[in-house]
Amino acid sequence: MKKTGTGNTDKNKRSRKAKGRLLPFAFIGPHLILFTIFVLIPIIYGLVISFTRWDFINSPVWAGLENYREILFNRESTYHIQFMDGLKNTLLFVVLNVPVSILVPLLFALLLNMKPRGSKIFQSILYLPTLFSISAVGIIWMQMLNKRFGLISMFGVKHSVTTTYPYVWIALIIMSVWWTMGTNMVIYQAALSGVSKDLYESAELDGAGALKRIWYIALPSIRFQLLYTLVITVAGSFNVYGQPLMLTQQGVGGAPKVNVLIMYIKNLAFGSGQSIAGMASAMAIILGAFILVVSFIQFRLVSKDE
Amino acid sequence: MKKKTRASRWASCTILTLVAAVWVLPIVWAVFTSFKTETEIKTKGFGFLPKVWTTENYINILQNTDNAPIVRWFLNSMFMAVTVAVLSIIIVSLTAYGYSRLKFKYRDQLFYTIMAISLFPSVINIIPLYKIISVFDWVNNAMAMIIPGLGAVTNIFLVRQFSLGIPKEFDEAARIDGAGEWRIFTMVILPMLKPVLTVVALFSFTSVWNDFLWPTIVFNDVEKMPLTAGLQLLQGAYGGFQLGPILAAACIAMIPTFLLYLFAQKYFLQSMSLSAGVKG
Amino acid sequence: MIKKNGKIGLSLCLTAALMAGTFAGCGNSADAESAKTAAVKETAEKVNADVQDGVVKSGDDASDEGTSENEIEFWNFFTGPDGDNMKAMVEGFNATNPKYRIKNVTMASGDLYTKIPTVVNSGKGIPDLTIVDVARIPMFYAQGLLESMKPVLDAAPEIKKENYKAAVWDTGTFDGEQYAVPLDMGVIGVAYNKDLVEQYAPGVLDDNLITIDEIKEIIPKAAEDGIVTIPVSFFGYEQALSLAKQEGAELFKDETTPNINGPEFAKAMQTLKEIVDLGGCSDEGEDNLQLFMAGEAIFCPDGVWDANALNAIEGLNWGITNSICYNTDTFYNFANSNQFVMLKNDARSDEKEKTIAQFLEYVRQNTLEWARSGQVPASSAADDEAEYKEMNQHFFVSTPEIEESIQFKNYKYTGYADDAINKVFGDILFGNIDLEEGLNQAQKQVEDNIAQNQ
Repeated sequence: MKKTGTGNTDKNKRSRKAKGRLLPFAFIGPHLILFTIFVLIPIIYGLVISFTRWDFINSPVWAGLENYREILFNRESTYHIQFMDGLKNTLLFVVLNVPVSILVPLLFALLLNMKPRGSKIFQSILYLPTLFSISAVGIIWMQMLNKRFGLISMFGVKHSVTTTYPYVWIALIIMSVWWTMGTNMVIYQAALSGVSKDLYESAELDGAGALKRIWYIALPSIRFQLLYTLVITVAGSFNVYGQPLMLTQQGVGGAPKVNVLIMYIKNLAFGSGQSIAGMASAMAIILGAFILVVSFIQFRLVSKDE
Repeated sequence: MKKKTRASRWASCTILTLVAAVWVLPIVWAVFTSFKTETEIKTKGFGFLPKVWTTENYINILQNTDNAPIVRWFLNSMFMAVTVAVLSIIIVSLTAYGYSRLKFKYRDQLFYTIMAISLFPSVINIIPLYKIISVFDWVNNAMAMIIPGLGAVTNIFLVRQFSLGIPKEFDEAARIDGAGEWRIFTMVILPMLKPVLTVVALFSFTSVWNDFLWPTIVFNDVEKMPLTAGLQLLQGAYGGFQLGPILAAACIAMIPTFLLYLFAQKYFLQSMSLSAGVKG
Repeated sequence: MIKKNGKIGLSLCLTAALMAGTFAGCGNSADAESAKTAAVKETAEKVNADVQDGVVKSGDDASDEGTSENEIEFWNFFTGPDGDNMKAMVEGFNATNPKYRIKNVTMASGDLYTKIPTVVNSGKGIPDLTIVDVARIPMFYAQGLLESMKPVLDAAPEIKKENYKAAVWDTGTFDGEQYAVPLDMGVIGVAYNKDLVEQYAPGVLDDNLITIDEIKEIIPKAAEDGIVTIPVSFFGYEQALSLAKQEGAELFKDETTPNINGPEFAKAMQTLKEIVDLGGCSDEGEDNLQLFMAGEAIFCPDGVWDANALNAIEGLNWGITNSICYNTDTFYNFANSNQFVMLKNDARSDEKEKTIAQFLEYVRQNTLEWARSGQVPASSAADDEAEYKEMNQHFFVSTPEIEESIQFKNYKYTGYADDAINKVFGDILFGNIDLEEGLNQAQKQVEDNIAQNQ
């Protein structure tokens, strides 16, 4: 109260400055809190138990780096063999699935963006599979691909598609794209709808063909969204689980033909026997590290572009 | 010029017709098969149209209200999914705005860090997550389905990417006009993000609607379960399952999300820069 | 039709409400100066209040806490048609006005087993009574998860070994004390198509035993018509266990030594592989139960619980018999068994345990209802019922010799062995992996898994 005028404005300035510093927190704060409680803490928890032996029931026993050593360096160990097998299949899935899951929805979004007759019906049909749960999708495709009772029996296919390489991989990728494509397609559609019509028209007047317009106008305009779909599709493919489980397991008591890392991790943590949660966590952390490195590279490549 | 456009439209129409025909085939089969008897499905080989139409599978599911209060599940799912969609939009738009248009120290570093953390596989997470839920006393409570998902980062990433594409001039013009941060957010940026926020609503709604592992963990009470988790219960215990009811259940569960999609598609196809153009 | 239209209308309204709410929410959310955390909390509280006032609460006036106090929470995984039979028993018991009502909580078996460590870890939401499979019981006992059933047996003196099938009762006994009360025996035998047996294998079932030699004789005849003799890739693991047991070998030599790559199990796998190589089995990856249902397989290894699924197929004339054997001297049938256990929980009162005893006694007496699910009841109470004798699975208790053939995989580390063998089983049968190599791999996996628990 007794402060001089200048002092007062100083104070106001300072408080405004403090408010300015707090302002971002008003926007990102609520999420940061939710994120800490429901994402960060569980992951730290997982990190901690990856340094232990634990069956989820009795007290965990500190094991230091033993789980990591076992998985990464002990060539004799079941866990090393499982990890390498899981990693091989997971990487193969990533390599096969990501390009298709980016390009196919992009192609459809571009086609739909031309607003052909009936485009609304087409986009609904293309999005429809995304709405089924993976168990329903698995059941439907298992039936379609059954060589004795399924759709392929009508085309005279003699192979059991879901158990013979490389057909099982082809079927897996087709089913995956069929099921998940809608998500990326909708994002591209939303992004493409934002590309200014003027740009297209002026390019057309300059005599640019359809491909050129796509390459020089549409794609650069949606580069942020492309980065998003790339990062998320890659991370999602590394975490693949439901599709190979539902499609390639052979009836009761059969192991899936395509064993991806998450399956091994899940079986260790929640298999039929006593849980081997520490080892499972360590595998999950290593897989996480892989995803991290790959995502980092993607960000680097794209931001260099700008 | 017009001819050319028309030709390319026809080409795209033809391609899409062919693809859509293939795309819809498994679903058509699933829908038809849900109207077949179990004997026909299991013994008559592959076919699309039922030889004998029966609504038995649907009646079994819809009438089995003691074991399976399907209307109740439906309402539970609706409540959870709608709440999540609404809360997601609020949180996602605020946060994405913060990470894309506000300027503060280590902004991008902070965002990339939470993004990176969220990329770790979450297989083991149900054990700690359940512990956290039980601390809040949300076991058997819809909150367990609603709140944890709001900590996710992917949708924020999505909206942030869209927001990054909006030219800086808009904020600057508004700032010169003396608008505060909140005003810029609500009056300038938010309207432009409307299409992608519709997508966020669609994604959040669908993910809650189709989630079935987590709800079976947090709900013991059949009455409180969401639809997909409940329908999961109708499958056979040892895998000697009956296809008809499962497919009927899948078709029922899909209807609301599909209607939401039809509704949403109007909004996410709205041009972002069109609204921007009006402002500019 | 009208009903369905109404539903669509309803969902349309709700989706419309959602979208309206969405954008209203964006426009009116709390004003700029208020702290956003508070806003979220407020929303959360509002939602919470909505939950209590609205959807979830209506029609269910008991609060959560109240529910668990007045009721016995009973977890099981009877999600199929067997769920109706369990529900009938629970309702029948609740109709007797017990002190506590049984609250029947059904979930998929995988979810139940995932939930157990989850709730035990947090100490909240531990059920009063739970169904688990016999294969898990020694493990749960060793982990200290199980409460002794002694107070239950004291309160219900008729729940005793004499009133149950002896072998299955013993699987719940540790150090002379009972930790589980069996509900049933899910015997895995061989289902057969009566019409096809008459056509391709007349007389084979006269002694109720299908020997390997007989199978090998049938295969060429059946294969000519494109008929599968016996898809041993389906529940073949239990067939292999039965064969190995005929030569005196168990899955484990002792508690911590698996016996997977021993000569007996290797020979059993070799035998199954021969059936595959001769063309007696379906191809890899086929839906074998569907094959059997479609009348394209003579025999099919299967569990008794599939009875209702098989009965649902019109025109399928089927029965079930013993697992396959080398010769007619000895035979075994491996089985699952659903058993009642109480997970350790200090909050479970003595009064609750008394009601649990009454419920288990009710189940014991009314076990015919459970036989209707297709299972072989563990309680002997239904043995003389005419209705039960008519059922296919009654075969497994029809003579003392057959009853004694029933075996359980009640080893401490059964789960590890199951997972490891299932992983290589199909690949060995169909020649994708060398038999010896596959079994060694499974053996090593189980050894490594066990080593993690030392």
